Amino acid sequence: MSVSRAVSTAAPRFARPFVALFLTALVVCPLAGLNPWPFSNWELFSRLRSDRAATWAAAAVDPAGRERGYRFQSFPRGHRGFEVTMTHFSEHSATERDAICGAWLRSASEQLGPSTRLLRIYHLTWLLSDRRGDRAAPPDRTLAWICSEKGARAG
Amino acid sequence: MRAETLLRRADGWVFSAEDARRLAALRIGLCLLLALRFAITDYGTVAREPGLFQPHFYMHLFARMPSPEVVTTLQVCGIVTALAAAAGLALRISLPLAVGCSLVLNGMLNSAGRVIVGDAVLTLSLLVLLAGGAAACEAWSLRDPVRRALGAPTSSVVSRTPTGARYGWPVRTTMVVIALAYFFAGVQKWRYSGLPWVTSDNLRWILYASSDSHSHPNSLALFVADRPVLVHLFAAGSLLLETFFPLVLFVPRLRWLFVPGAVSMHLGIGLAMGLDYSALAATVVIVFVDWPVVVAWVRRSAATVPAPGAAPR
Repeated sequence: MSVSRAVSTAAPRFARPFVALFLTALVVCPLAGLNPWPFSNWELFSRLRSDRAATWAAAAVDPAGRERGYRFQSFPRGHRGFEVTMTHFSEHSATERDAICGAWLRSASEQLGPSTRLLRIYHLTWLLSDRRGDRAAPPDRTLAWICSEKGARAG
Repeated sequence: MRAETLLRRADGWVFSAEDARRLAALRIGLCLLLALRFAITDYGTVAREPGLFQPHFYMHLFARMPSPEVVTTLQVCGIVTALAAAAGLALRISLPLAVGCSLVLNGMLNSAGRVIVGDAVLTLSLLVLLAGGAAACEAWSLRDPVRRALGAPTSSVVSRTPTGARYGWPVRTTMVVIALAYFFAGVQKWRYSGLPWVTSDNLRWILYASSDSHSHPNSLALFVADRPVLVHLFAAGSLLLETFFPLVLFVPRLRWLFVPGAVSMHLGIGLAMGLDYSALAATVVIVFVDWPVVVAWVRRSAATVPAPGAAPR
């Protein structure tokens, strides 16, 4: 059985206010530098990069004190959480730093084995133009933080 | 007076009539893409690291990172409801549920230290589709066939392919969303860097840094970064494409240039830097391609192909 009915093809009454608000939010967020996802400030690679590069790196340490490089590749789309978290790491409270360090140490123990005792977090700096074949020259390395079962402490 | 005229023109453009099938194509494409994102994205990794929970925006509603069990439930629910919405089934329930699952799952990814824009345009487009309501399932829907199979009364509309502003404004608004996203990505580069974004070695450093950050060097990134002229050409192309993308709204013919250009740019970024903007590229194709015209063209082409038995003697 088919029940025919007429459907108004006009836009609903709420459509205009909705479009106005939605597009205003889309314009205001980039102009004001706001990033309330899914609205964005669209600052994708917008700031100039220089020849000098800096990043963070982690090394797992076993009971004998031997270091082993640890990459935060297990997170979706690479190690995005690690580097961004480290940029503002010192601004967190001690409790928050301990929680973050604890999560990283557990993750490292799961991947590298229970012998992982510590994670050493290094600040690396290097020149992108100083190439050694397909790679940049080895970076300068400064110990910044140590993650242990007790929490985080400055290196 | 001029501002008023401009506003009236913009209103007339956004709220102009569109074929119901155009909106239906948006529903099918965006919901299938959403189902695919639910299926292939690994949300579980952040759920297994509750210590990393740094709530972003609406994720402050959650006291802690949702558990892996919640993630699995949301993924399954999201896939089922997104597929139902793509088919036009129970759209008033299926689409809000699918979008809700997406907001929570993407919110989790964004609450692990960094906000990801890759799925933002897809989500914004889905929010517009959601606001469009039931209009999106008045063509190319399995709703009536399913009702007939169940013996329930069907609610077929008088015209089989209705046309009107009811179907036009969600399609046009989504186009504006995408155009503004690219435009502001360009504007921010002009704002913070200006012409040196193209003329300096900026893109070389981006490509070298990206390649160095991976366990294996990226040969495409290094090939481009080692050739300054190529770097400046790509930088200029990207900045021009982003800045002038809104022209596709006023000059539809330019979609033949800008849509493949945007897809190529995202493909290039993916290959050279490993950054996933596939959801954005797919959304651009879904929104800007006139699918009813494509379907009519395919049908015409299929009709002109002689059947095997009717081959010329």
